[in-house]
Amino acid sequence: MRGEMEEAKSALATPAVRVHGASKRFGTVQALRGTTLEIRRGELVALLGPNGSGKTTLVNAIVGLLALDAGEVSVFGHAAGTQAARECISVMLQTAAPPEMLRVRELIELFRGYHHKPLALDAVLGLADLRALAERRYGQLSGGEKRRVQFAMTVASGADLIVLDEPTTHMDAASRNVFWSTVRSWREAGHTILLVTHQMEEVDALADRVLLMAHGVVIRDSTVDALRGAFSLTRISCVAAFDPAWPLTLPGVVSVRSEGRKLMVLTADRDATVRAMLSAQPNIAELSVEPASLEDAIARVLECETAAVENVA
Amino acid sequence: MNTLVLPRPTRLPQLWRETRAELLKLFRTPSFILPTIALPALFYSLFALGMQGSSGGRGPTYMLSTYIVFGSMALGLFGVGATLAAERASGWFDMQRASPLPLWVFLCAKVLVAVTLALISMFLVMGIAGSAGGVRLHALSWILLGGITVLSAVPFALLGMAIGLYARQGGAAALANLLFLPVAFFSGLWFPLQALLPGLQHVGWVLPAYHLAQVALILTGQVVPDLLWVHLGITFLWIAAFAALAWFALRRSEHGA
Repeated sequence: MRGEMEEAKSALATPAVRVHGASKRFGTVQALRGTTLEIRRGELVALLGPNGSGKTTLVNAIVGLLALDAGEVSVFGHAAGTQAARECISVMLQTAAPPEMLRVRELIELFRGYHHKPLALDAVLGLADLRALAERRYGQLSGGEKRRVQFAMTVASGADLIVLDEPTTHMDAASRNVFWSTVRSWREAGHTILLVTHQMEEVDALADRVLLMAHGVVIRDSTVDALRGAFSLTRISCVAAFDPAWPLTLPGVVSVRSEGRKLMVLTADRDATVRAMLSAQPNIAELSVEPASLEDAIARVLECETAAVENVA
Repeated sequence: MNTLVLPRPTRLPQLWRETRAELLKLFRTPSFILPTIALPALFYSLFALGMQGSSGGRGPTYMLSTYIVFGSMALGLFGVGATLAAERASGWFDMQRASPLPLWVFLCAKVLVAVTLALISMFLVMGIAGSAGGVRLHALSWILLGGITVLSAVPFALLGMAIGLYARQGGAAALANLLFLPVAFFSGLWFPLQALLPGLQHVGWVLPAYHLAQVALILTGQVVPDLLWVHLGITFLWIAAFAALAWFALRRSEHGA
């Protein structure tokens, strides 16, 4: 009896996902450089990073589509890619298309049949708002509808770990809202969710924790608030005639970037920067001052990281 | 972890569902699959019925035997190879690989589909042979020809699988064609090997389709049965070789991008 209790306890202590020292090279590209991370049970973790940072390679390793050159990946304690691991995961891949000729209902039924505790078909159709489309062929659907079908096939599994790779691309605003509320209810029901995304509002709306990837490693692991708060930056945007390098000489300014005719200034000392700008440049127009977005914060983290890497090199 | 005590989905119903989905998919793309199914019957009509006068009535029976092997070969190579290559390109293959469905069920369904399509193709050839061709065979011979159809579909479905797992989408069909046409020619599937130059008549010995065709010809009384077991033995060696090839292609695809 005691043995069983301990076993159950250690099973609960096993993280949903554990990646240790994962490396993978494709030809001359080192996609993963010995990255390590852990996702606890019941967490909703967002994986962020610029294109080519290794996000999709990492996802493919976790769901067992890819054999690593070095390192280990386990899912609920089972080595990734094994039958036991695959029974715990359901993944919505970024670029995977079901056969065009099968109907929505047929596709969902097919995937329900792969799992031992699938959701009821009708519940799945309701969740993804697909009741009206159930008899349509996949090839006849719009881009956003196709993504909803893939999402439905993923959640139909009832799997403990749901991996979503850029799930809301091609979705319209209404579909996205349906999607977000479904993901939230999934998390409340105790599922572990790994969300790979480009969209900061999605991270803001959903995630508990953010893993930030760059150059094939997770360079930052923090809560959404901590990531933003750690930098507590302000974004000042304006249209101005001065040299874009000039604001860097002002107090508090950490970076400047131009977007069309607009200049975006990130500062750690809002009041001092604004005062200095206005007193030196009375002709500034279209001035706006707002808290930095998560995107700004992440761009800043990446900048610091790149600078650090270059300094070491 | 009480999830572990729940019963797992059983494999046989899964295999049935996979096979049905695969068939639905193919028959809803008739422009792809119908020509491949009808090709042997079309060729049979042209070559066997056209040759009836010159070969004293043996043509239709001889070619009934070889054209059903031809049909199995086409459907194995293209039905499995081309669809698998397309599914690797679209990502459907990855969706299946990441799912808990054992990959052997997915691949086995493809072989079953090739066998089913080969049988349909066979019935078309048999229908023309029995009616317009005037072919008369013992009931057991008709049934055994069905067995040959199934036996022929398996090695080529495995070879098609290896090609589909190895080649890119456009390359798979090209590679299948590159193998398909000379193999059919040198195995005597289109017309009797006696019609070839003497030096080319024995090339077929190294090809699996030749031995399958010889077994079919023995069953229909077109060839003396002395070497029946040799032909069957070599056929099974080819099946083992193509199974190994498919297995290696599968392992390779697991390590790729």
